[in-house]
Amino acid sequence: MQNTGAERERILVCVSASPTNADVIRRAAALSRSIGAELIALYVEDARAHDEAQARAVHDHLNLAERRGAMLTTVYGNDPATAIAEYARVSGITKIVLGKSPGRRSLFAPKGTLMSRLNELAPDVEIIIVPNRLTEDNRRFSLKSLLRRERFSGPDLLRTALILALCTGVGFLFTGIGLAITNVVLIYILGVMAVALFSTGYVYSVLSSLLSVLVFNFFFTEPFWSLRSSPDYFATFAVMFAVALLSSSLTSRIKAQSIQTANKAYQTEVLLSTSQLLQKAEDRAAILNVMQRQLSRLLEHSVLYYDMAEGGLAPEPVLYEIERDEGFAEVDLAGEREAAVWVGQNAKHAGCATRVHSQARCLYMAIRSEGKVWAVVGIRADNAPAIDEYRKNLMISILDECALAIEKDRMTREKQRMEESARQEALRANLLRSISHDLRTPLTSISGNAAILLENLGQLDEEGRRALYASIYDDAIWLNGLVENLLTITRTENGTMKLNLQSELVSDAVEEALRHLDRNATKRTIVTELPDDLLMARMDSALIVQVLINLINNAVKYTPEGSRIVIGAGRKENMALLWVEDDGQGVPEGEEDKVFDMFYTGVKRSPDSRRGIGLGLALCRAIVQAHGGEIAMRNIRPHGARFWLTIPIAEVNEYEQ
Amino acid sequence: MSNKPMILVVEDDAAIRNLMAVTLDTQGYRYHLARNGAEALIEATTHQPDVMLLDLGLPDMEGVDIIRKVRGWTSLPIIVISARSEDADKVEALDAGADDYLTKPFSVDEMLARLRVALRRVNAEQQAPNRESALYENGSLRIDYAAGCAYMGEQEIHLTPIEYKLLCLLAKNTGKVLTHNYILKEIWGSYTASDVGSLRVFMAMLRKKLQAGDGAQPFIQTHIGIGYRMLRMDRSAEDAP
Repeated sequence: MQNTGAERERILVCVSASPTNADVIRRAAALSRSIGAELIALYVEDARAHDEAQARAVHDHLNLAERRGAMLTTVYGNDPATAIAEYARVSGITKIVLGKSPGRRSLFAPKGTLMSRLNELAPDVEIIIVPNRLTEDNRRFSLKSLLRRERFSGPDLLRTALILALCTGVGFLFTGIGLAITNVVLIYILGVMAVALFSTGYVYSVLSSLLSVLVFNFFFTEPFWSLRSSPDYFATFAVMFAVALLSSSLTSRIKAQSIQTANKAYQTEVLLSTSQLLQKAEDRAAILNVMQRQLSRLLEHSVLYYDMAEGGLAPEPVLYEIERDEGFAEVDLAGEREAAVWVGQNAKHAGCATRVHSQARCLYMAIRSEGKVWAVVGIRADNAPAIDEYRKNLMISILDECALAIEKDRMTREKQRMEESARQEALRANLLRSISHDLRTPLTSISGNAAILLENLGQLDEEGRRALYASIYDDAIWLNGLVENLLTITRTENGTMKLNLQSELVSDAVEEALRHLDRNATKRTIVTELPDDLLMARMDSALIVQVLINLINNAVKYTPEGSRIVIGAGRKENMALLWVEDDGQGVPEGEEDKVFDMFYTGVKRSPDSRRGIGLGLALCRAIVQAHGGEIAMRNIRPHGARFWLTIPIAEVNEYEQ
Repeated sequence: MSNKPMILVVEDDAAIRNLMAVTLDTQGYRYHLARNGAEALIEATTHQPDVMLLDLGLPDMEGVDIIRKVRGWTSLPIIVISARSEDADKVEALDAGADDYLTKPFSVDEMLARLRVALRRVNAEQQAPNRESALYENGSLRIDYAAGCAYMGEQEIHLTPIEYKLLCLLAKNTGKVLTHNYILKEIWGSYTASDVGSLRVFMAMLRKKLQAGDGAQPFIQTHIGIGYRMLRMDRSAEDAP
C-alpha cells in the first residue's frame, strides 16, 4: 500500500522459534534501514506448551530483533494469521516480512499457508517472503521438534491408561446388564474426550483414539480377548477411530481456547486494576508505588525501584519486599547499582537472566517513554521460578502504563506551573503598572517642591517654605512605606512566604508599629487597649508589625483629622486577636471583603488620583494567612471601620523562677 | 583635646555622608569622614573617635569584619547603619560587638538621639572608670550589687533571681542593644528557640516592675526581633547632647 504524506513506513517481522527466523529478522532489519522504515517485531504467543529450547529460540530472536532496532510486541492468539492481520490493521503496518511457511501447524487449524491466509485477511499489506535457505534443516528440525514437543509425560500416560481402564470397566458393566455394544463405543469416545481434556498435546488424542479401538476390539468384539475380529467390525473401528480423533481434537482446541480466555481475562483484570490505581495516584512517587505493588502481586517477587532525578539514579532504591523470595535482605544492592545505572542509561533490560550484568540477582528494567527513562525497576529473580513469557508481557504492559502515567503527571505539573507563572506574570505586570504610577506621583511632588525651594528661596515666606518642606517629607515617608511593602511582596514569590516565626509579645509588636507611624497620624487620637501585656503569639515580628502599620496608616488615610483610632489586642480561644478601629466612614455596604483584594482602592476615584494602589491590605491578608490566621473588616456603628486579625497564640513553658 | 565629642562617620554614599556631616556640624560635634573600611580603620586608630557611625554595606569590607577589628583594641561605641531591613544583619553586627543600629531611611532626629545614648555611656564610663563594683545608679534606678538588691527611688523592687540577673546584665551594658542570643547565653548558658519565649515573658515582667515606680519613660527598650536595651536616664543630659 502506498503511504501518503510524510508518514513513515512500518514493517512488521514475525518472530518464531524457527531456526530460519533469525535470518528473516536480519533481512527485515536491513530492509527497514534501507527505506527508513520503523521495524516492529511481532511474536504471536499461543496457549500451547513450549519446551525450553523453543522458548530460548524465541527469546534469542526477540533479543536479536531488539538489537536491530525493532520495537517488540507480543500478541496472543491460536491462529497466527488472524493475530498478525489484526495487529497489522490496528497499528498501520505497511509491510509484513515472513519466512517461508513451514506448512500447517496443527491438524485442525484453518486451511492454507500463513502467507495465503494473510493475503486474504490483510489484503492492503504488502507481504515479503524471505526465501528459506535452510529448507532441509528445517524439515528435519520440524520432525525432531514435533517429537520433542510431544514428549510423553508419566502422569498424562497414567491418566490415559486409567481413563481407558475405566471405560473398559463401564463397558463390561453395560454388556453385563445386556446393553447393546454400540453403547460401549460411545463410552470409549467419551473416554477419549476426557483424555484430551485432562492431558496436553495432540499425541494423546491420537494415542487414546488408537488404544480405545484396540481395547474395544480386544474385549468386546468376537472373538473376545483377541485382536482378531470379524470384518464386520472394521467399519465400526474406522468410524470409531475417526470420531474419537475428531472429538478429541475439538476438545483440545476448546480447552486451549478456554485457557487463553482465562489468561486474557486475568490480563485485562490486572491491567485494568493497575490503570485504575495509576489514575488515582496523585504524584510520581504514588505512581511508582502502584507499579511496584502491582508487579509484585503479579509476579510474586520482591520489587524495588530507583527513581530518576535530574542527575541520574536516585541514591537509594524504594523496596517492596514479600516473604516468598525473602526480599532484598541478602542482595548486595549497592553492588548491583551498576546494573541499574546501566539500565537507566541504555533503557534496556539488564541483570539476572539477561546478557548484561548477568551476575546480578535482580532483573532490572527501565520505565520509559519517548526515549526518556523515568525510573528503573528491579525484580528479585534469582531464587524464584523464572518469569514466563506471558507474565513478562503483562509486566511490560504495566511498566508501559506506568511510564505513561508518569509522563502524564509530569505534563500536568508542567501545565500547572506554566499557568501559575502566567498568573504571576499578569499580577507582576499589573503591579508594575500601578507602582510606576504611584512612584511617579510623589517623586514629581518631591522634585517639584525641591526645585521651587532651590530657585525661589528668597521669595517664599517662612510659612510657604515650611509647607513645601513638610510636603517633601511626607512624600518621602510615603515612598518608604511603599518600598517596604514592595520588599515584602518580593518575599512572597511563588505564593509562599518564608516566615521567621518567634514567640513575641503582642504588645511589643503594637509598640513597634506605633513607633513607625507617619507624621499625619499625629493629627488623630491614637489609643491602645492592651489589657494582657503577657499575651504572646507566634509571629514573624517584622511582617506583623508591617501589617499593623498598614492597618493604622489605612485608618489614618481614610478618616478625617481629629478622628479616634483604637489599636487593641486580646485572646480568643487559642488565637491572639488584634484589631484596629476608627470612627471614619467605613466602606460601602457589601465591599467589606473586597478591601483585601489587590488593587482595591476604596471609593472609585479618577485614574489619576494620587496614592493607594491597594497593595497594603492585600499584603496584610497574605501575611496573616501565611501565619495561619484570618483577617477581616466590618463597618461598625454608628460609623467607622473595624479591622481584625488573628494569629496563633504561643504557649510559653514558664521557667521555674 | 577639645571637649566636643568626636564622631567617625563611615559611609560610602556621598549624599548620606554629606547629610550626616551637615547634621553633626549644626549640632556642634566634631567629625571625621571615611569612605570605606580601610579608611575607617586608619581614622579609628589615628583620631580616637568617641563614637563610630558605621554603614554595613561598604565596598571593600564586610561591616562585621570592621567591627571585630575595631573591637580588638577599643570599646568605643559603634552604631551600625544598614539599608537592609533584615533583622539578621543587625543581630550579626550587634553580636560582633556593635552597640546600636539605625535602619535606612532614618530621620536626623533619630540619629542624634542614638548618638546621645552612646555618648552618655562613654561619659558614664569616663566619670566612674573604677567604680565597676558596688553600686549602679541610673536615674531613679539603683542596684546594690553587694546586697543583691534593686531599688526604684527608695522603694525596693522585688525581683525573682532570673529577673535580677537580667537587670544586672542590662545595667552593666547600659546604652547597648543586647541581642536575644547574647542574653540567653549569658543568663541560661544555652540557646534554644523555646527559651526565646520565656525571655520575652521575663523581660515583660521586669519592665513592668521597673515601670511601676516611675511611670514616665521605660528603662528597658524592646527592639522587636533583635533584643533589649537599658537606657541611661541621665537627667542632666536628657534633652541636650
